[in-house]
Amino acid sequence: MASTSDDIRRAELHKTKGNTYFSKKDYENAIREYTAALTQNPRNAVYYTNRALCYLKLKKHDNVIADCEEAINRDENSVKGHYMLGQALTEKGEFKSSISNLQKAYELSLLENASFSAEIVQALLNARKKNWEIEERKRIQQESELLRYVKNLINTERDKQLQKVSPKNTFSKWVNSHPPDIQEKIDQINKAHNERLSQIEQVFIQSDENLRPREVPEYFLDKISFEIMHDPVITPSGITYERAHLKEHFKKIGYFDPLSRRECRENDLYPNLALKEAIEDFLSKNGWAADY
Amino acid sequence: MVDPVSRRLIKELKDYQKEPNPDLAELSPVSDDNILIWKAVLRGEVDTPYEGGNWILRIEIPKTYPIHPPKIKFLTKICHPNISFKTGEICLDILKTAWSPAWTLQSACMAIRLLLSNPEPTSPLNCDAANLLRCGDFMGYESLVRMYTQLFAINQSSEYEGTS
Repeated sequence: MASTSDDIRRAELHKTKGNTYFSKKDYENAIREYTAALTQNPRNAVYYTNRALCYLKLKKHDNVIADCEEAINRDENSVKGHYMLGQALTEKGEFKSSISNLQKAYELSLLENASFSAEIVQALLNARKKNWEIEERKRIQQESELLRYVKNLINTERDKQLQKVSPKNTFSKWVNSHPPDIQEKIDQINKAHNERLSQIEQVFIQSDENLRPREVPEYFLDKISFEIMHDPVITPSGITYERAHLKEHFKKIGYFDPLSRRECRENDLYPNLALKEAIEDFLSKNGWAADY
Repeated sequence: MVDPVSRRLIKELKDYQKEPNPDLAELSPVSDDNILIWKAVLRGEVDTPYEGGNWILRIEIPKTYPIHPPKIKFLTKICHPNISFKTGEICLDILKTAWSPAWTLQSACMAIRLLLSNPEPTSPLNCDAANLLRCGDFMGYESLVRMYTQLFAINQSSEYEGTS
């Protein structure tokens, strides 16, 4: 059913009321007003993103997802729709779609010159880190299971060898009554076994430690926020910054490179692709660093 | 999620704690509930009339940091051509127009420390001290500075603590 111009006007009134409630942090009432606005004019994507923001504040992530999807259906370039959808998906543990939505939100926010690109980058890094933490936990669990399995194999192998040396005497473990030549063999088997066990444990410990040096190289950090860069851009002076933070500097202070102080405009910036690749590579091995 | 200013300040705090700076006896937020007010203790350089002194700095950080510079002033009285004897205000370009977001609270404090031994008498906030230098009376200047260091900055630090 198409909305008449009267409906549209009434919807806007509800939205204004909703915004007032929202600014007072009365999210329940704000949701009621946005819902009323939507019944009058269901085609407006902004009502959906406004209501989604309320749900986000109330941590009702399923509702956030539903509203953002509605908003994106109506306006596929909705920065806020993709941004909040990404955040809610992060909370639900659906990192793949969360990251792709946040990435989309980031790209759209650059086109629109939205003021919150930096926040989106932060949400992206947060999603990547959470994703890594869960995979890391899985990996550690798998590794400890593998270790247990290998240890079992080593134990079975020893038992087999011991059986061969003194097959009949099943009590040999308890009674130390072996002839010296057999005892020597048994000792050898036990010694080899213990060595193997400690070797395999060593290997696993080392593989863990390889992942441990938890320092982010300074050249991966943005010179303004000191955070790891997601969209590094290079200025005519050859200095690299996170795009969103540099844009904020341009807007608030002026069009110059903050370090070299040489004039620099947005058109002068080039993406630093090689550095971006290096950071991607580093993050894939050191996921903890995403939210460093 | 923590706001970007706090995130950066927490990093700066960690960096300072990881590698303490002998010239900067202290650098930390004054209290746990406000990360935007810090306190630093500056140690006077050896072989200068500031030797042996400890000066407390109050650092106020704007919400737009590091795009905008922090406001830093001396709480402990100090005699220096570019520092107001009365208010502790500092005249230093990097705290104003020459600020860059790549500076940190620590590097800003170190720049202030460097200013102590490299006064700029042409833009004075303390005319008496500046005039001595401009007349070339280095002996008089040094003994004046040494006197105030002795008077305010040696074993006096506790008196000013907690001022915020």
